[in-house]
Amino acid sequence: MTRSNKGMNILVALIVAVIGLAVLFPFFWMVRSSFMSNIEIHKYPPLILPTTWRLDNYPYTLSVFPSLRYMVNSLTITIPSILGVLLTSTLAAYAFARLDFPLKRLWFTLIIGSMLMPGAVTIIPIFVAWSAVGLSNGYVPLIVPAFLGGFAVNIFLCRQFLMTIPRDLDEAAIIDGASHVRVLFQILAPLIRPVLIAIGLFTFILYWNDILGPLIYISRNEQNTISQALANFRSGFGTDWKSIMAASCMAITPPVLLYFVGQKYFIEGIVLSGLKA
Amino acid sequence: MKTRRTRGTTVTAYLFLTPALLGLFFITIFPMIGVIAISLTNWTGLEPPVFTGLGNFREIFTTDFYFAKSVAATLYFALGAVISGIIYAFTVALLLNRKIPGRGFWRSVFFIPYIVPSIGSCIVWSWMYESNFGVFNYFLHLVGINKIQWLQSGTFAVPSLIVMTVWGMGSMIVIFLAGLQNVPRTYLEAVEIDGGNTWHKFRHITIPMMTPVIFYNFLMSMITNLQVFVPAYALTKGEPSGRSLFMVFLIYREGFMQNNFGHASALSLIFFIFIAALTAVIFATSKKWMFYEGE
Amino acid sequence: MKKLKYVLALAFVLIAASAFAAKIEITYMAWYNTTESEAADIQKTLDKFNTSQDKIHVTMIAVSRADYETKLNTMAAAKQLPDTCIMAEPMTIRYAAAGLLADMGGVYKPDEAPLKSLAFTYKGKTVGYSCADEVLLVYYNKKMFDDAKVAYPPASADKAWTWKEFVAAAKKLTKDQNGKTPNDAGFDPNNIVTFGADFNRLSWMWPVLAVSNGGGVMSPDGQRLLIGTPESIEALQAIADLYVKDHVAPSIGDKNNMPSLDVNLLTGKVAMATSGQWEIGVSLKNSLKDGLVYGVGVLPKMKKAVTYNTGGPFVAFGSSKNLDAAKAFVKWMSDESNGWDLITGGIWMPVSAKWYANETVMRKWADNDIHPPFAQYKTAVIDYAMKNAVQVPWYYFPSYDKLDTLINSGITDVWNGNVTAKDYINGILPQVQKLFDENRPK
Repeated sequence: MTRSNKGMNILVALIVAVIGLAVLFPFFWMVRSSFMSNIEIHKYPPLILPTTWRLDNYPYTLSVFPSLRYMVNSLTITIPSILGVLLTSTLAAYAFARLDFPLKRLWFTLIIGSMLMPGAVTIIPIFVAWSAVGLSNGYVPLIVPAFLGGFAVNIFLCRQFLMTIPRDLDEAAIIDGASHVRVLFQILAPLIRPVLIAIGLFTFILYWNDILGPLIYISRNEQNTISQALANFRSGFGTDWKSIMAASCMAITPPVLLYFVGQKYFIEGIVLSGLKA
Repeated sequence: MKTRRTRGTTVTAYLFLTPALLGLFFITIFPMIGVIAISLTNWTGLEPPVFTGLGNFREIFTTDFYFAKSVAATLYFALGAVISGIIYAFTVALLLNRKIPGRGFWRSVFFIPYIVPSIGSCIVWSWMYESNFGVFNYFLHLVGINKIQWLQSGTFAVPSLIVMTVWGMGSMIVIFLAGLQNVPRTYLEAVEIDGGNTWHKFRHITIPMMTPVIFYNFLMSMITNLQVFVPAYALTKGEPSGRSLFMVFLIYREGFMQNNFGHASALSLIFFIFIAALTAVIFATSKKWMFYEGE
Repeated sequence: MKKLKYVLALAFVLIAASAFAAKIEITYMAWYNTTESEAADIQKTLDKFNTSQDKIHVTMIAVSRADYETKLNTMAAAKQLPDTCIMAEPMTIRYAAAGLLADMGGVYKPDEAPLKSLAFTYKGKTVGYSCADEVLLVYYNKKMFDDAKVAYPPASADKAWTWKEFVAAAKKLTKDQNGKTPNDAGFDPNNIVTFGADFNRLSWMWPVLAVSNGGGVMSPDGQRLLIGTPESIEALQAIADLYVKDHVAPSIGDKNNMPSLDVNLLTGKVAMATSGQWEIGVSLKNSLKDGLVYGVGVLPKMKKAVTYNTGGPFVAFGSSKNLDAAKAFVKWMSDESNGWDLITGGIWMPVSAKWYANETVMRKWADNDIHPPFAQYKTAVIDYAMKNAVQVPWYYFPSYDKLDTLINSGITDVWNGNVTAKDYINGILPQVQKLFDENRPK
């Protein structure tokens, strides 16, 4: 490495650190506020750290804002949805990647085209349809779409990945008499595990953060999801900032934890989706 | 080498495809028809619908008070967020592309805001933007500038939301980074051998090679950000004076809060046509400035 | 064989008895403002109903206030409305016009019914009565007035301040960081630490001043739009001027970020503010222990002393499968003895004339530690509500929410002084007139 190169690297490292700290700042602010009293939060000039760390803010917040229940509600929607997405998108991807059949081109084009369909456009008729069958109040409308192909982008990702795997294993298994189902689930699935994990993680984030869906389909407040409940919490009169911050900290912890656990797959997943497209 | 197309294969294929095809029809195709159908009525959700033909559309383009404001607000936000986002993400990716210590750590730092639920972002940023107690105004105060009403003033409301949104664009950074790492070293070295410096490498190799990635990010980000909803719903409710009256929020308010399902569906349809047209334009013009390795 | 017959007979009797004793199940939907814990209080009232009789059992559906309209609308569209609910005022008559609300006409005996001013009506039918009589008042921090040697806001309508007097008092109470008032030279409007007055600019509240000036949003019969009259425009400008010219009120942005009324008065951020009667129980009582000494008075007037009255109505839905039970429950809910804690707690005021008949009965609910001193409360609140209150138009105008949204869609610019009230109102008047004509009760 030349000297100017090294110098450049140090400069870059510094710039990155500065911007990076700026990016981290909101997190810091959120956590720090969650441990202060409301009077301290309103102090101006603002304190950097609380004078006393009020750990009892969290139990208090839980008593007025049952985060755990809301998170369980979110999970009740998220986990089945992840399963649905993984199942139905890999099935469709396998069909496109490995099988030949009439109208294959047509369906593929249509499904990829639907990737560009802005979801917000069809909220009204979809709501109407669910009301007509009497299921518009509850989790069903939020979970079922995951089982209907699990979003075109996931089908696309899976397909691209499948196509990079040589068919030899497939062929061998088929000659041995295996059905396509076995080929997919027993042979190929383990090989595309990175993509599946990435899809799972992204689906988790998608459902955990969704507000518009629960807003339309969930009426009873006991069934609210964590994002929805947080939005309601914030909108009340005389905002109780310390509790809102504490509640927010609790709400973002699961996705962040999930990220740290599955970091590798997250990044891989994004890279795959970006590059293959 | 194709799999033999047998009747059994076809049956299997269609069996596998059934959920996806059901999704295609029930989530995309039928609802689109539904949007068109409802937009031709004055349905309120409370009484049976009455056919009104193109009445809703006529109203939206002539007398509707909110439509023009909403279009302006949505476009301003989306273009602002996407363009700033691409510049931000590309810059950070360039920086992270160098072998600096702790690169993996910093990459995580820049990515994490993407995972935060937008409501969480809205909450903490709204507190930082708060005009009397917020930390941003405190920083301004330290350099002697008067406090700004970030989320309430006409000039700063949408830019404040844009900054918050760009903060969350962690995935774009990762995509750009991956794209940068895919630029073949041989090309870069060729420029060096020819006597070119960093700027030449950047302009003649990096940028052209990155155009597909930029294209993808631009397109996807536009579609996502045109559909912005949470900041309007949770923070501004369209204030001040309609400057943040984003389209999806307007559709939600008209349809689900004011019982104007017919009108809201008409808005949805117009919105869809606009996005489709925009997508087509982006695709069509992409040939002019995109560069593929094979060419 | 005989044993079998015996068993069958017993089974028959048991089934018949249980069917006979089976309770009618109805649902009641209500909102909570911020936290679910508020819903627990509502549940207590429902428990009281359920244990007080064994024919009807009511279950609560608790929804956050922010999503309330959406929830009700989605339920209506899905034909899954509850049996009863407390309605968000602005959309009530729209539902009545769509035929969704039950006629509450025959439910009360003539002298039992709540006050007429609390009736939501459509085409001559009453579809619900407010759960409480809520009026707009002035609240002020007594100590701040004492320190500045300013007379307290008057506590009876015949002595109501004119707008000029109101602004003059506010100016004496406003202080910048150097202790100067707007009347002093060198006053710094960018660094005010105490605001003399805040006239509530909430979309449905501010027009009360226009009504006082002879204008308003619309005529009480819902047939004439009044928001475009010079009187209304004058009132709007006067309120905006509190910030723009007089420098006694916070900007609307600052106002929206301020904590609750009690904290504002206690910390001296604001010397006097207008809001609804419910503040006594919802916020002001919370700061009594911290030493807040406050007073209550009537609103300032322009031409005549008026206030608005409002209150979310209890309604029964026509789609209810147990309409009689629903109506019976609604009637029970409007009986003050069932919401007594809310009344003595200063959140609600009674709905029926019998609790306003004489001082003795008034003292029963208004003379306690939470309410301001009775003498003041009686004239400033009770008499004011009985004699000087007019209905917010949502009592009779379908889709008031749409009108309200439209009128207030750009009003932030007026509050901030970017556009005059006159230009603003004249600018949106054609739209407003059109919306008004489309929705006028016919």
